[in-house]
Amino acid sequence: MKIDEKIIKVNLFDGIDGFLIAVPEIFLLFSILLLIPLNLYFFKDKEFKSSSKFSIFSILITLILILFNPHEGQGFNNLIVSTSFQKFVKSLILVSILLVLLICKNKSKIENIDYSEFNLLTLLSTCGMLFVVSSNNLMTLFLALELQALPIYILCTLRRNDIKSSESGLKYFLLGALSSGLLLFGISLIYGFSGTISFNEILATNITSNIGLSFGLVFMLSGIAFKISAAPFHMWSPDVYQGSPTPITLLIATAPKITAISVLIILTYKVFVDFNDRWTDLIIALSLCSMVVGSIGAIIQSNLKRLLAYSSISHMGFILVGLVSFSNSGIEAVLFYITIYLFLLVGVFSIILSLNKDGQPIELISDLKGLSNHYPLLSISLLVFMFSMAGIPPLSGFFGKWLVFFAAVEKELYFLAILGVIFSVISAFYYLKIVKIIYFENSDDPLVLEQSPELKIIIFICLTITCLIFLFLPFLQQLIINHLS
Amino acid sequence: MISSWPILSITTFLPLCGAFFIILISKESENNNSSFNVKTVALWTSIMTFLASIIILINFDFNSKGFQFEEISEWVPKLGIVYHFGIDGISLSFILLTTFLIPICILLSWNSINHRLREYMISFLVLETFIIGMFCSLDLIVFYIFFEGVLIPMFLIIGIWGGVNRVYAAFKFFLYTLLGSVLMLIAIIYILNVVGSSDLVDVQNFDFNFYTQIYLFLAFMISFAVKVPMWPFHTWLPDAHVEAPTAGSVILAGVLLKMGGYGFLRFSLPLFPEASQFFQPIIFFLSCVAIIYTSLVAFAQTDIKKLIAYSSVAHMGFVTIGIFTFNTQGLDGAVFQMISHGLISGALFLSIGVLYERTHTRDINMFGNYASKMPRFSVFLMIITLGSVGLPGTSGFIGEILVLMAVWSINPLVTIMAGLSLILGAIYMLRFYRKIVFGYETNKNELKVKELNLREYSLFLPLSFFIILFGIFPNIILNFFIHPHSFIINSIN
Repeated sequence: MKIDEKIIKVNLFDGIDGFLIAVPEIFLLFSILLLIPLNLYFFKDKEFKSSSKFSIFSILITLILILFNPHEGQGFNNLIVSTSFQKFVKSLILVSILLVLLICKNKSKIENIDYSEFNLLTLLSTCGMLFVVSSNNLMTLFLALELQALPIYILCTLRRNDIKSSESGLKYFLLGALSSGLLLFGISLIYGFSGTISFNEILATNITSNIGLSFGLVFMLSGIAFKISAAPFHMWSPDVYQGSPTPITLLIATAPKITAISVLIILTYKVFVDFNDRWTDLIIALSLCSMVVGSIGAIIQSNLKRLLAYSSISHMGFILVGLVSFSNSGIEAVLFYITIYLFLLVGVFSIILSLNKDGQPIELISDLKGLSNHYPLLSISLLVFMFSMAGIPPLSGFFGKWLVFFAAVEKELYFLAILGVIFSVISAFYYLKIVKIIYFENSDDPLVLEQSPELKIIIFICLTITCLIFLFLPFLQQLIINHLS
Repeated sequence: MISSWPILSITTFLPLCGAFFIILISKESENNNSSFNVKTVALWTSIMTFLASIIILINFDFNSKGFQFEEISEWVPKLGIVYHFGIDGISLSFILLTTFLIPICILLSWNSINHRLREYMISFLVLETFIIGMFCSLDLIVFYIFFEGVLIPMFLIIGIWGGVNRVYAAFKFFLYTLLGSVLMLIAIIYILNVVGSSDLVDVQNFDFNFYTQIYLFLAFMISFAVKVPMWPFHTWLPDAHVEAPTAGSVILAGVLLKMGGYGFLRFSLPLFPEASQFFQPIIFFLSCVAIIYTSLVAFAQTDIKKLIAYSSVAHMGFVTIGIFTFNTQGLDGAVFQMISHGLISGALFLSIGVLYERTHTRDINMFGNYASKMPRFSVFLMIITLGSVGLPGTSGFIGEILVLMAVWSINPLVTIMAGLSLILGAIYMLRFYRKIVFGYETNKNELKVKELNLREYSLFLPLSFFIILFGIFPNIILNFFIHPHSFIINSIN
């Protein structure tokens, strides 16, 4: 009887409103479809730059569509949802993709990834990310997560002749598939015990204690923890970061993590609200593990990208501290943290990408030796980014940590806050190590600087945001608050 | 007219503007004059900052209670954080000390810093901004931002231009101090959360219960105790002092150590009065250990820079004793001791810098007979050494005697223990002076050392002048503290 009612209700668009809320995604999808023949027939000799320009343009238009789309609500038979929260996260994702594409426009040649498929796959993955954020149904969520992840597995192996690149792609794929399996198993448990996969109906069931449902949640949490590389599900990230071409590493480090965190926010704050006391212990455990692994694991690293991988694990630990407080100030802190962390990462990676040694991209931390002798401005920028990542005021990283710990103290999670700051001191050590190598050591073997104007502007923007965040702080906070209501 | 200007913000951010202009000086300017330009811009910026602080002094009303030149503007209204600047007599005296010492530091490095001059001057100017901002801020979060921000330029100053073991010293300094202060951050966040505002005035009007006070006091104490430094937390100091370049040591001993004492006075005492009284015996014990233990350690040093570093710990022990006596004499003595120690230890490190520039050694046994080699320098060194010993007539005497008098009424045993250090201090400082100035000729190469030049005179002269002036007319400084100290004592009782 019930099933019959549902069949009757199904119609494709839910009226014009349901269609309108998905306009940006649909536009992006069409531009992807357009890009395939363009790549094949019009951009002669697989010219990378024109396809790159096309993708940047389409991302830009998608961003504008999202910012100026007045339609909110649920659509497509309640499969997707768009509120101001979703809009904020989507714009953040699009900004990060835009920055990645701008960086790659001129840098892909030297990184040996100048295949026009790069742009196509990035756009495809972006489309997946947008759908992940707006999904209102466990099945949409899973499918969109797969759409986001599969192109990235291919992107990791884009440098075909490089054994490390292939290894990283394979590793990412195997572990990613495992995490998808866990996620799907969790979803099926939830479906089995609650009888529905729609977020609206799960919220309406009001089940608070159910052992099967709790198991399902644990599996789902593990699956998402894979995506954000929170310890103990972090194993893939150092290898993948190291092996992938650097622009792809930047892509992996920013947009998919923003997506996964927003999924976590949606699940914990909006869908499984009654399970908060069960989430708490699990997320605290994840957060502590990530802080420990991230801060201590990074100390012995000599490869720059591996170090950044561990650093991102420890940052995820801090972000989870904000999440675990289950309050509005918690989400604000998390969103604020990922926003500034995005610009920090983009800044650091742009600097790494603008340097090369003997015609090769730099790999080791020790390659940065004596950077300050030759490029003082670039060194000061890197110094600022490092101190900011270490959370030293008045730079942006401090404000992120501060808001996160504020949320934790508000919920009386004192031990978590205290352990958090202690691990932030430990992680300060390896950021200082990079500063030491830039400033305290000399080298006769100079690095070569190759910067396109775009790269210079991006570094400048990231630097401005990092240094002058205290001016934008109230504004940014207000923006986030407005998007939460 | 001037009172309507945001004079505190101007003074605070003036050095930052100077640093910005130094970045703009192009590296390959004509006639290779860029290094001279960098130095001149830095020097003039610091002198202008000094003049700005003099303007503050002229307009300062010594008879008014409470904070002056207050500047309040909303910053993060949602969390109740305001950009609140304002000074009282205590802050003003530290601001003057800072703006006075920074030009000296820059002049001091005029010829001794040859590589990365631009970054050096930027670091010093940024450091000045952070220090002045810290002494001006009346909001806990704003204070914390400036307090921690000091670490960045100081880390670079020690690490880039320091001695042989500089990397170790810089890391130790940074991580030690950071670990100390992050707990304060949690305490500040707690206060912000409970009170709903981090403005010092609001927090002062809030009564924490005793147990909360204990925890908060401990969190603040660890951070300030590392800075002061008090006895078990002092191990970063000898390394940092020894490895830092001369100007770095001057500013470290002269101003950075005072941040701890200032923090106790401004935050720990008024905010957590009951906890302060509870911890008084422990602070006295730690300070006495610091005074006696480090005096003995100082006696055993052969590196003269290390000797002065340990003597700093001993002198700062008087400061913490004085602060925790909770009476006018003690507080006066403590702050006076901080100002006088800022001048004296700054001058001592300056002398060591002068010696090191000429001989390239800091081993006390390598010096001798400077009375005949550098007679004028020896006179200056004598004034400074006697100031450090605490001879009546120098500024070192006033602070110590006030503290000893104040603590007698509370615990005579502490007076005796601390008084012992006057003797110990005399022993190691006079040994230091004897070995350098009167000792035998030990190193034939040192015969060629040159007497002080004009630039060095201009550094020693004002320092020695103020050491003697404050020793004879201590009321010049003590006038600053009448109202702020009575306020602190009222809030304790």
